[in-house]
Amino acid sequence: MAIKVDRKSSFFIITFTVLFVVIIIIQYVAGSRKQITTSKAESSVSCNAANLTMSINPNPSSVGSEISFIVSGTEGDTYIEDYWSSSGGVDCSGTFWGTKKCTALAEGTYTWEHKWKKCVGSLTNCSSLCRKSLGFTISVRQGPTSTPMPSLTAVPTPTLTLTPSPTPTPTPASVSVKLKLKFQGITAKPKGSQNELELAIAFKNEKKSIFQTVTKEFSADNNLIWSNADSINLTLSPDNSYLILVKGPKHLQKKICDNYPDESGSGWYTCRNNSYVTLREGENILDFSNIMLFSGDLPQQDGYLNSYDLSLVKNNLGKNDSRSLQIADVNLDGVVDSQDFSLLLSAMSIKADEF
Amino acid sequence: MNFNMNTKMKFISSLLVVVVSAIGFVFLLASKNTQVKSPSPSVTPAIEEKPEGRFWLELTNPETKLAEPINLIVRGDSNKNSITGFDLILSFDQKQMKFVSQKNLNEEFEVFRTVKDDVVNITAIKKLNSNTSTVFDKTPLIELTFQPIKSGKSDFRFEFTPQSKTDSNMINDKSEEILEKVSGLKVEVN
Repeated sequence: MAIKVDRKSSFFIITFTVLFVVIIIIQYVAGSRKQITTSKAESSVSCNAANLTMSINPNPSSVGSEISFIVSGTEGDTYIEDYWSSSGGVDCSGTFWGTKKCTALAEGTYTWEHKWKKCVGSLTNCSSLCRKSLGFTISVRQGPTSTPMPSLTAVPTPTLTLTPSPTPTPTPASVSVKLKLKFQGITAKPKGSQNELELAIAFKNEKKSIFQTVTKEFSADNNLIWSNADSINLTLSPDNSYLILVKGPKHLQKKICDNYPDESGSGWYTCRNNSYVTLREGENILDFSNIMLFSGDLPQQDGYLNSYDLSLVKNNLGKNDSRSLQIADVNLDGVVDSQDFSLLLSAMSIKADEF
Repeated sequence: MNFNMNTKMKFISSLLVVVVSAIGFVFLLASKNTQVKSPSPSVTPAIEEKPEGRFWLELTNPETKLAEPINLIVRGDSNKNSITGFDLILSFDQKQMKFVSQKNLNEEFEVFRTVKDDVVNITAIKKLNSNTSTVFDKTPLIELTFQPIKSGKSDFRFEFTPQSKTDSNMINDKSEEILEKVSGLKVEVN
């Protein structure tokens, strides 16, 4: 029953089989390509820039003032991003929905670009990235109202010409400020470099736009009162009224509106309507040590106390290396422990910076 | 000698046919399987990476009536990541719904809640004495109760931008934000 296969027949059988396999491989490869093409199919969702409205208020604005960048409409479900060019014109810290509050930093003409994606049904079914831009201008801050120039009177004698004397510009009074502060949970004078905190202090004028922001080193005395050895020098007009915002490196920002605030009444200090800190020419020592500055916004700071900040303490419990202490040792006792955790929990009712 | 050569040639030829055919059938089967798995163009791509972190909402009772409060369950997936804390920022339509209460469904976490206007803000952190790893796998986290004010459709939406730490978050045991997807819910009250 043996089938006789000579060399010629063997050649044909092998050739046929190889061809068969090659065809199948080609079919396989073609199928794979089809699958890849299918998986890369573009989403049918598209965005419509006409459904998104952007506005800037005020525009133009002046250096030092607050600018609102407002987005409204039915577009923009996710991947929302904002860019400002040229860079350096505005400072927009934090992330905000709808309206972004920024501070005008430098004079110039800038462009605000808003990016978004339109999604339908779920965040897996979105359009490609869409863009829309709007220009805005920042001018130099308005100075004090200038005195009207005296009108020139023609002099009958042709040889004499009266030159008006220049109106003197009022020079801003020199104001220096020293603060006395107290921090929640710090019950012993910190040792070494722990006894140095860099704080951001912002001074807002009555119109509530930030006038000047400075960072200063503060250290604690034996009574746990923190003060700045180096005065804050301001170029403010004297006898004016201000709100002062104080923010520590691991703390929520506190707004202070009184020269001598205290929380003896309600147990918790909040600004009353129409109350302001008054600064005068010369040195101003502002004693804010009767109110407590609460911890909560750990580095990298974003203006909120949330699960991210709490996790920094929880995930570093028991540690005392410099990195852990820098980010999560809230009471500055040299170890990240349950006390730090408790301090954050006690600030959960505040949750965000005051403005 | 001729007899031996002929037999050897026959053997090699037969073996080659069997091997090559076997390879061919393997490719054929693989090709068929691939084609079966191929999605239709209108369906989500077949190769999709599972998000690192995800929150979504579920309605406990699909029949919603004006007189009865509705309960929403927030569930989470963390794709094998161990979770230390999370934030849920959920907005709702104040004209349609009134927030009533929230209930913690995971005893390992301590929960804090604030409600302002049309936004419920919930922050949860693992309890100080909890040292075990917690992975979310379709895990029920929070139950939210709302009272419908009037009939009609009402949206519940998570506020979320990827990588932003100031909205909804899922934080792992390295204090990294891993939330990548959120799914809100549209409820129709009869």
